[in-house]
Amino acid sequence: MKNVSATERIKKALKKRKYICDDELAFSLYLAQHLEKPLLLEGEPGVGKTEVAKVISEVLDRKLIRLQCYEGLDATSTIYEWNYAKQLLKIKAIDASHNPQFHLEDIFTEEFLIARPLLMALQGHEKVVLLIDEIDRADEEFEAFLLEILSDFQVSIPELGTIHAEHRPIVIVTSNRVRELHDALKRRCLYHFIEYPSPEREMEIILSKVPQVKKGLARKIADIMATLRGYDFYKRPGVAETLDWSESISLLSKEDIDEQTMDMTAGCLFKFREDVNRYKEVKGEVLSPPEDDSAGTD
Amino acid sequence: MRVLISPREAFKRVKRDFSREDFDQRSEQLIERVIRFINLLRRNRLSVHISNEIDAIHALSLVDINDPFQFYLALKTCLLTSYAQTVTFNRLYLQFWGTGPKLKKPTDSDEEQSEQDEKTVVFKKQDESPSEDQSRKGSTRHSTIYEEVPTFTYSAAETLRKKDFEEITQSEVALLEEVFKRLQIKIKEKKGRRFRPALSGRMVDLRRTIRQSTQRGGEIIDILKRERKPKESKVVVLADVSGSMDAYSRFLIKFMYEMQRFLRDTETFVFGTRIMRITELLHQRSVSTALAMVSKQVLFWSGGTDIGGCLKEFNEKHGGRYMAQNRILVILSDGWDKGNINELRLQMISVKRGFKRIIWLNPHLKYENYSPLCMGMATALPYVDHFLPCHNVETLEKFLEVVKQI
Repeated sequence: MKNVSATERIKKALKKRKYICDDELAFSLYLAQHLEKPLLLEGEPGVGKTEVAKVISEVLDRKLIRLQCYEGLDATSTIYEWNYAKQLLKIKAIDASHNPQFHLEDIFTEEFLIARPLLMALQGHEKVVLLIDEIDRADEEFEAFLLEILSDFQVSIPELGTIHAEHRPIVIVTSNRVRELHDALKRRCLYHFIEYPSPEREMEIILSKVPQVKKGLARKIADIMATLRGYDFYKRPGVAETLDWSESISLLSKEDIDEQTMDMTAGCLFKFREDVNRYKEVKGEVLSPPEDDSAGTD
Repeated sequence: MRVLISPREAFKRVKRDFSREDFDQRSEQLIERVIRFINLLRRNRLSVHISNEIDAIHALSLVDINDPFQFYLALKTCLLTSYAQTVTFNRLYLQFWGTGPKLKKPTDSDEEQSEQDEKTVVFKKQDESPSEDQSRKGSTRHSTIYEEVPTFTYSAAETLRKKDFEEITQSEVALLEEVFKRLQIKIKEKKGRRFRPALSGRMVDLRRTIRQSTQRGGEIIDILKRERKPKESKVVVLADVSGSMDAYSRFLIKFMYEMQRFLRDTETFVFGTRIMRITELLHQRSVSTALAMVSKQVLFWSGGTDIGGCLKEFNEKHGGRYMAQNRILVILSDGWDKGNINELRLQMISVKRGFKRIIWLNPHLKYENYSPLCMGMATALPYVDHFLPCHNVETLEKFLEVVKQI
């Protein structure tokens, strides 16, 4: 009898690609795959939302199509666009040859269509993973373009007809919660919020991504990060910052973290001057309590 | 044990455990119960769309429903659409499924369930009359008891909108901050007369289109568009933080913090006996830090008032930089002034000339028969374009409406 749990399987596969995730995320991915619905991931910056899609495409050995959203993004740069230049050339060529067989519809075929990421994800014969990154950066109107694609996995082109997806792509939508997304979009997605990892899991992440770091040090880094996130910074450090920091500490070939190391590497954790100043204010507090902290969490 | 199985496997397993009709009946019961749960969510203002409902039921066929953790996650992933609602969802989940999904071993899942739901907050029960409560507990525990759950948060927010800032208790401050965050602070709506290139729209930008076509041998390939540039009125806020405004200044600064976040180039000053620019201090990630820094650095907090003197200082020190015809000056003050009246009049004339409009927000306008008796207010009033109250959220919304119209 098969007794392999799917969440465990997903977790293991992701771990092999150096992505450590918790049960909840693995479970959401499992549901997204089997319900064939897009998965909307939200969370603080730097907790690995984008990374999920990358790793999944590796695990499933599918092509990753990535759409980075920005303000002013519109349908022509995301779904499809007619290749006007080519159409014009065609018309001119036909003009020159005086071909009576020519119809105007002939220039509205797939030959003249430039597929942008979203159409590309639906069009191919191979299965793909579609990543719509930081959707909250795009305008609200852009969400409306996505509705048809995300619910029916199809694109309607007035001149050509409707293009259906041969294989439904796995869709990951990420958002930093800069603004609330529209309900219409949300209800087409499954939802998962990625929290900051627990110190134990963060340690695991450090160990797998930065193998030079010793276990004790990784534990200490993870504890310090957890404490730091409790403070009020303009931008709290995410996991990405943890990894940068661990790497620079290992570059300095330090065995332990002291105040001097913390000063030297402040730039890895904080990108704002106010935050760096605040960090320097509190570093003493952050360094001293780890013992009590770890005693509390263990 | 958390074992996830394939749908086919799950089906087989369930089929093995029950006879066919039995299974149908049970799954029907489960679906009915899930739907009841979803209705409970809806009554508590969690919007669950019908497609999410179908997903949730579909998802349950994909998971091992005997495992409370999976059951919980399946519902949560499908039904929840925003992080802000997690707490409400968890509370309602525990309340409804508190005994666990009753399909098989009820006692088992009972225990695990309460362990699983560590994030759940303690929920308050409705103030029911005790006798009714008793009888319900006894007999109809699974059917009707959950049906009438009051909605705490939203109605609370609704009354809070009308509540005078003076009467806000400590416990309501957090909720008020939420209300502030949800205010629709957008005043860019009004379109101006100038144009700017646009990606889409109705108006054709002939000049740019032709120019681009020359690069391609006179062939017009793209039709470029233009749109009317929104006219942005920028706001400069001068807030009175003297003793007489004590009850309000704390909340009004929070409001300014939100304004500054949403309206580009909003400038904020506080004044009392002197004037100080706090725009930078409000550029903090959290309101509380911002407020703490403001109260730490503003030395004249809760002191006296010299509106004329402060306006003079503003005109001399900052006026040149922040005074402009596309800016609106907002003065937040009750008008109690201990300074020189003539000075005030002179300065009002000069700001009136420098700014597009002057809006005066006065919390005392809440009294119906308010009249500007104090000298300061009486002197300044002729130069003010809009004189508005600001004692609760509702009036602040009205203020935003006025700004939008300008």
